[in-house]
Amino acid sequence: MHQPFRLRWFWPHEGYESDSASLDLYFDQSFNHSVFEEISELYIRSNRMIHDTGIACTFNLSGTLFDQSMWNPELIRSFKKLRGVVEFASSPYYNSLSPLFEEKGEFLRQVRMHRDALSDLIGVRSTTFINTELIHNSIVARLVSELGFSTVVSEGVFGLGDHCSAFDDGVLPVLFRHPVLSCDLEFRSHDTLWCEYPLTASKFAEWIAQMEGNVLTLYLDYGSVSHEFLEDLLHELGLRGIELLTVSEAVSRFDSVFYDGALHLSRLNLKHCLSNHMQHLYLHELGRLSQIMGAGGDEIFGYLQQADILFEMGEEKPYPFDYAVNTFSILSDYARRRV
Amino acid sequence: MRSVCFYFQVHQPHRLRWFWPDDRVGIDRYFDSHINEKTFRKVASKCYRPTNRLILELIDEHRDKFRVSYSITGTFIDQCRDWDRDLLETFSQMADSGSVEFIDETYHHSLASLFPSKDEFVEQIHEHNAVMRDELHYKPKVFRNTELLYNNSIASTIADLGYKAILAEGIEHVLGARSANYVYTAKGSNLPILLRNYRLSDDIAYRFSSQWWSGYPLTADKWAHWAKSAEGDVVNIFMDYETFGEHQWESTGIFEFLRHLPGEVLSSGLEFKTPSEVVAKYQPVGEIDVFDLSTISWADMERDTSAWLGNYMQQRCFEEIKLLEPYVKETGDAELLRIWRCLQTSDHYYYMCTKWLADGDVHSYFSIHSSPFDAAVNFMAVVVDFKLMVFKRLKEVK
Repeated sequence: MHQPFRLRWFWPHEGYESDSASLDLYFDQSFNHSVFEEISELYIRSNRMIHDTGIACTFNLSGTLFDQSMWNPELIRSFKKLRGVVEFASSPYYNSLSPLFEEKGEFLRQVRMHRDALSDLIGVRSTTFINTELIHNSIVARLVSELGFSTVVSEGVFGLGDHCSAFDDGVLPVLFRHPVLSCDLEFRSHDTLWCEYPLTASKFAEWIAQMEGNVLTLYLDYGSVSHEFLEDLLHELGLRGIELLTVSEAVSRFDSVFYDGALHLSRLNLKHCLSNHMQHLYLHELGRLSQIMGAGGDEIFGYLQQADILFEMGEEKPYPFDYAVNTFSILSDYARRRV
Repeated sequence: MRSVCFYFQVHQPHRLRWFWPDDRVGIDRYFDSHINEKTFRKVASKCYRPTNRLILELIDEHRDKFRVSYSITGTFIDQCRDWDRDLLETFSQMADSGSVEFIDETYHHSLASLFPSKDEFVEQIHEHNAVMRDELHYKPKVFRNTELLYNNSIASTIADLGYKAILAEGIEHVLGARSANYVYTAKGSNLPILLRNYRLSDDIAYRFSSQWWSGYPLTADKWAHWAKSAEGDVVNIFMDYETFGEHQWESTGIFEFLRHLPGEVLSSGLEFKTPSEVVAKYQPVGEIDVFDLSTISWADMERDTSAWLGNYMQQRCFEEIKLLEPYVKETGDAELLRIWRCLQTSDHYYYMCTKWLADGDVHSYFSIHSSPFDAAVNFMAVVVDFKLMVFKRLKEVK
């Protein structure tokens, strides 16, 4: 679950006319608020369903969602009620690609922030780490294991993720998301041209039942599957003797398969957020700024790192270039105040 | 018609490199001297050298009767100093001949005239004036602004600086029923204005080699006949100098056309005049009124500022550069100031133009970028980095 702070249409003169950087200067807070109002109601209803059905699962809440929860504290209360049913995992607080910065200080700061927020707001201590865009490699593995995490979820790749097991690269056990089945549920199930349309819970459960292995990992957006489908799926899986587990239950129940080799994994290979020059440059400038500021990064710098900003620069988006020029203008206004 | 006034624009910009923040310092951090040198040498051999040679021959041949005028941008002179001193020398010979008038503009061929304060604009004019003095030992008396950008307040700034005339585009909606072939004065400042006759200019600059055109093939005597039959005191023929050999390749016969032009013009009974001679000889017949928000230029079909400031990307980039002025100046750092001024060159903004349908092809012809979007993103990437440099320096000097 993630809600970003979306940038606003910014003009350089507004930057010079403001004595200091602020959320209202760079972010479209009234729009963000209105989206949040809708989405938080949805989340609360879904949480109630999870609570009533007792569907075991793991939640990956973003730090920006925590921040937006100030607009509706009811949402936090509804998450709190799920303690014991749901496992809460940690992430970089700002849904950032800071794990790719050369200096890892900013990444560590954000992971700690997120873990602290989980403990302060929800009252849980997380042991599972789910990186932004499921980025995983040996450096991330070492860093998060030093922070005390005992499990990671990352992206499955052909020939690896379709083995339904937990893996262990010698540092930490890793569960690989099954990309095809996850995307079937998240995107393709709404596609009327898809040969498997309509996807019923029994069909989906049957696919899973036919597969070999111990555990299959599905990772998807909270709002992408209907309550009815989830309830049906729970029932259909039960009929086939398939159990729902949280991440930490899965790794403790099954032996991990040792994986001997270097892992460099991420969701969809980051194709949607690091495919063009604008995206590469923006990430590079964030890294450079992070280095200049050292430990002085604030909330705004966090929000400027949201991976969502990189998605919008994707060339399949409606106005990636106008968006990039606008974003660079905002970044430069922020940066000039921090040198 | 009684007189013909020829004016050529000579310009090469300092093009940006495909920017990535690395260890390079100074001007090379942002500008691509390799591509600039390559382009300069190519255009020099196709256009500047052969055309200068021809113009000098024609001056010799026709003595005082063949007269032309030029404005040469400071960025072009920078490139001559770096790569072709001899070329600069041929412009010096023109200055010495007494048959050529040189005109002032902004050193950096910039959009500074569109800043709300004219201070930076004036500084860049002074800078250009100084390089004319140093390199050509010439003191220009007439002004032309970047791409003929013109409005009342630009004219009054130029009048205050003591110039005798300014050049502008002859546009119907400004002229009304009047003809561009007379001298006018600027509203408010009474500065004499020479207006471009865009039909007779573009017959040479754009249509010369167009086979779809009813005037094709254009010969010097045909053109001289058209000019002679036009009504008025003077036809002002203003164009890019790169017309000769670069926009119109040698194979189109453009050099042959130019070779025969002075003879045909003179034998048709017309005389050549430079801009100062035109305003000395002819009385103004009316007033030209262009509000600051209706600024005109010679670019594209619209002949306004939309070639440089027509879309949001261009407007943002321009605003970024404009607003940096006090900070760049406060650093007192000559190199930062020079880079900032090079970023004001109109060409960078022209590359970002997205008016594809009518004029996009001309824009892309001049651009080293594969698309206006790349040009805008690259410019903004430079802005992010340069802004950091400026504010870092500012912190150091404080």
